Amino acid sequence: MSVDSDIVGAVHTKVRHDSARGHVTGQAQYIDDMPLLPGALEVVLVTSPHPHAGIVSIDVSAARAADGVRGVISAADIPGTNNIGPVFDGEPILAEGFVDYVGAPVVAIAADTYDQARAAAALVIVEYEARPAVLEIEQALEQELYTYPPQFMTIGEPETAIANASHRVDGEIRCGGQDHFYLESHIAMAVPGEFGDMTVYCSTQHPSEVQHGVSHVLGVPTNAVMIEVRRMGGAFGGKESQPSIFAAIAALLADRCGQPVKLRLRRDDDMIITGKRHDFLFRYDVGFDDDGRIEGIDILMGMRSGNVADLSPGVLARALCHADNCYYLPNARLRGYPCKTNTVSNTAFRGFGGPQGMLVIETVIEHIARTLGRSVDEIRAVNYYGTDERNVTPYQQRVTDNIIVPLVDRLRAEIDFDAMSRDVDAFNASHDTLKKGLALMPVKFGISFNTPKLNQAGALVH
Amino acid sequence: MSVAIKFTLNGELREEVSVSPTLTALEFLRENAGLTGTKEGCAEGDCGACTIVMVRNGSGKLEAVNSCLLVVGQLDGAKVVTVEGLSEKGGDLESVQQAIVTEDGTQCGFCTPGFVMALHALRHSGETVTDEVIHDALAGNLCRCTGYRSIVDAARAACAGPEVSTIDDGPSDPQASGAYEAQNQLYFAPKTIEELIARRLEYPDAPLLSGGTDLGLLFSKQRQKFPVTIYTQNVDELRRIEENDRSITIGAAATYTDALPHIESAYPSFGVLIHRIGSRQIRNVGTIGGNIGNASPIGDTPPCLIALDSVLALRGPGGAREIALEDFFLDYRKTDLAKDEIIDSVRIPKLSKGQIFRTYKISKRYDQDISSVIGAFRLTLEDGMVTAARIAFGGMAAIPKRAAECEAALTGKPWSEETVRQAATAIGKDFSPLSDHRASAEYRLRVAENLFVRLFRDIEGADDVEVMAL
Repeated sequence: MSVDSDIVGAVHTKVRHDSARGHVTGQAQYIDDMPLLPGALEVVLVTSPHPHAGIVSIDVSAARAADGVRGVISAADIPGTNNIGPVFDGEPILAEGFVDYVGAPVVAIAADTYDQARAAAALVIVEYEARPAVLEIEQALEQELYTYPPQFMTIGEPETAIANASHRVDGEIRCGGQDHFYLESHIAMAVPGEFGDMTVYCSTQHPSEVQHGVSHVLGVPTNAVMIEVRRMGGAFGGKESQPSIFAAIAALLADRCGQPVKLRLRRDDDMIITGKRHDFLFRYDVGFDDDGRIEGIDILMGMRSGNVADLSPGVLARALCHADNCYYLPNARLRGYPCKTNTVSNTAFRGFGGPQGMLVIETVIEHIARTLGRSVDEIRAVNYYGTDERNVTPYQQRVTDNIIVPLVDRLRAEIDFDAMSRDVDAFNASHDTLKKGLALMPVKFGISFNTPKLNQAGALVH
Repeated sequence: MSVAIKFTLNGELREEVSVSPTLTALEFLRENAGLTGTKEGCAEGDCGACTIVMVRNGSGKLEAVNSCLLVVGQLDGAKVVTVEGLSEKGGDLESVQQAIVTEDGTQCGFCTPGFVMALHALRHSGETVTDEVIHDALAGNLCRCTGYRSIVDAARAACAGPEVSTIDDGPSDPQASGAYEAQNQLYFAPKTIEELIARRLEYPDAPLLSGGTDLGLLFSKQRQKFPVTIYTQNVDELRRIEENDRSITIGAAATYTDALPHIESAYPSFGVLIHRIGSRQIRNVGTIGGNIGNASPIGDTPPCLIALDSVLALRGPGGAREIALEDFFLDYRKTDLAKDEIIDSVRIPKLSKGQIFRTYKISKRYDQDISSVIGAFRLTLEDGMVTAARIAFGGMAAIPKRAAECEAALTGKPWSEETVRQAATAIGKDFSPLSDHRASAEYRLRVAENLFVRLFRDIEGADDVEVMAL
């Protein structure tokens, strides 16, 4: 093996995207660009209009008889298990007995054309019996409705530290959710093979999980299912766990009809049926000294998990593990509640809880600054993790190689932050109605998973 | 007898005789023509992934358009260029394509063909390409991966020198008048007003299709297949724009792009608004006539046109008539247009001495968002007094409507911040707006009131009025 060749992809060397030419010429192929196989069908989903309701009956007779319709399925038609939960069981692809969010797929229809499937979908009659719905995080917190057990993390003696501190403030802040808006919406194309095999072309970040999901739903061994992903038109976390739903529905219909089946969600359906970034409600109670140094803190995180757990456990753990950001919290109680609401299950999204965790502590830092009449940067500086002491996180990890102070100093100098700051002040002093703001924000982001077995990688080198 | 729909696609002549006339151009390209480089991101003209370039009406001008909102019928007589048409397979890349590769302007690549086409049109537009122009040219294209900087760098590199290019090959004219019939759908594209009116009389329930930036949603997302569609943009007379010392007359089927230079020079504030109404892709086909005819309570141009005292010209089998635009809107989505009438044009008086016009749009995004509130003001100021005021708002009632109480409170008063603030408090007497997902009733009233203060500061030359000026 040669060792003297140039390293490809080394740091600070520019490497061209190997698909760039395909992207700019339109030759790069996405799943919807693949030539359709003869007999390929398209799918439309019938979804729940209710946030929470029992399913009394499903009548698909008119839909089945409609033009071009080749297959109509509901939960009763699933040969394997109606579950694609990535962490916990009980996460169906098609609603069974009840629906628990607006947009939950109930019936899937495959027809020769999309328009035929859409017309047939309008003929499906589902009788519902509305049930009380929990729509707000506060309601779920009050009623202690969670998608899995709450997570707590404590270091030191937070209650005592808060009570004994010279200053104490509390507050509440909320952050909203966000749609991934990958430019390519969810898509899966299932092609039945020999002896019950199934190939699914799927726009997913997690082909092995989709493989598991499809095999469970079809009730076939994992090795009967092949997932192929050439590329995605964006994902951002939205195509980690959720593609299993659409891959499994497409595979099920392909299996039943014996024909290739494509399921492409149109944008509105994609937005309604699939989960987004978790919105959070935070409450905090913090004690600090005259310099603004945090002595004790209690943070409550109410996270909108949605109807099922999905990846919420990991997202919440990450939010909790980023609630310190770059700051030493000697005494802390961090409580995370994955609120079960009758809304679509939220999922992975760039940062995976990290941004939400940082938001609450930065809000606390600002609150302290306002309370003491000091600058936010001053309060940040006194709270930064130390190098030799004050360097243990609430999750008991020692922070090593801590460069936050020299890093911030260098950044301030290189961009002449003080001059920018003076410009902003001058602008604000001379403008009545329009104001500018300027912020310099430190970030500590964890690159590992809370589930230690995931902190490994492998490569197959031929 | 049915005519064919003829156009060139990447230089090759196509004659379609069996395709649904209201099939979207995007679906036609991807499914019928096998050109899958053009992507569907939203199917409603917001994301720009479906952008193609079109040359039409014999102009030779390359214009970016959203293929998702365009229907096959509208391609008749046009030259259509898709991303596949820019370079030979395996050959040299076109300069925008090359610049995007060089500047690392792609990640997932799904939005890229749309960006390429938007910039291809820009490169051939002959404009002096500043960052502001690049922003304008790319406002209709979304990218979720790159953060845009690398794409803007590519635009700066590839579109630096003004270059005017036209495409002259292929069909230059739409089909002669006649019906195109396919898939049990009739499509008329008359060339004269008389014929248009005759078709309207014959099929009073058929939608009038102009740019299709609103109607297109019924085809792309609602999957409607009207038995008859009547297209108006082949009527040259309806695309006329006439300007004299007293007024500007804009034909109902003239595009925003064609009207923009006239409006920009006569009422700069209205010009800024038109840039924000929709992306270039939208403005290249969308019309002010459509914005009026569709009678949305949140249409952007009607409040401006009402404040400017515009007059609408209507034509029908019985002849022509005029109506003040403010009298045209009767109730929510209901207008004075008779079933057999068409909108011919709108005549906008120019500002006379002492008259000032300003309009402000409040929306969640700056570019191409639906307005929460839009305020339009035409004031006459003489010797420090407000001698006349015409004020209209959108988003405050079921129709675009004048603020009579506010006008009265301003008229005859000295021009001062005090007067303006006082007049603004009358807004609650003029309007009882609704709460919806765009804005609450309270917010609408408050922001409408505040717009009067902005108006005063703007006219007095305060430098903090236009947020984008930062």
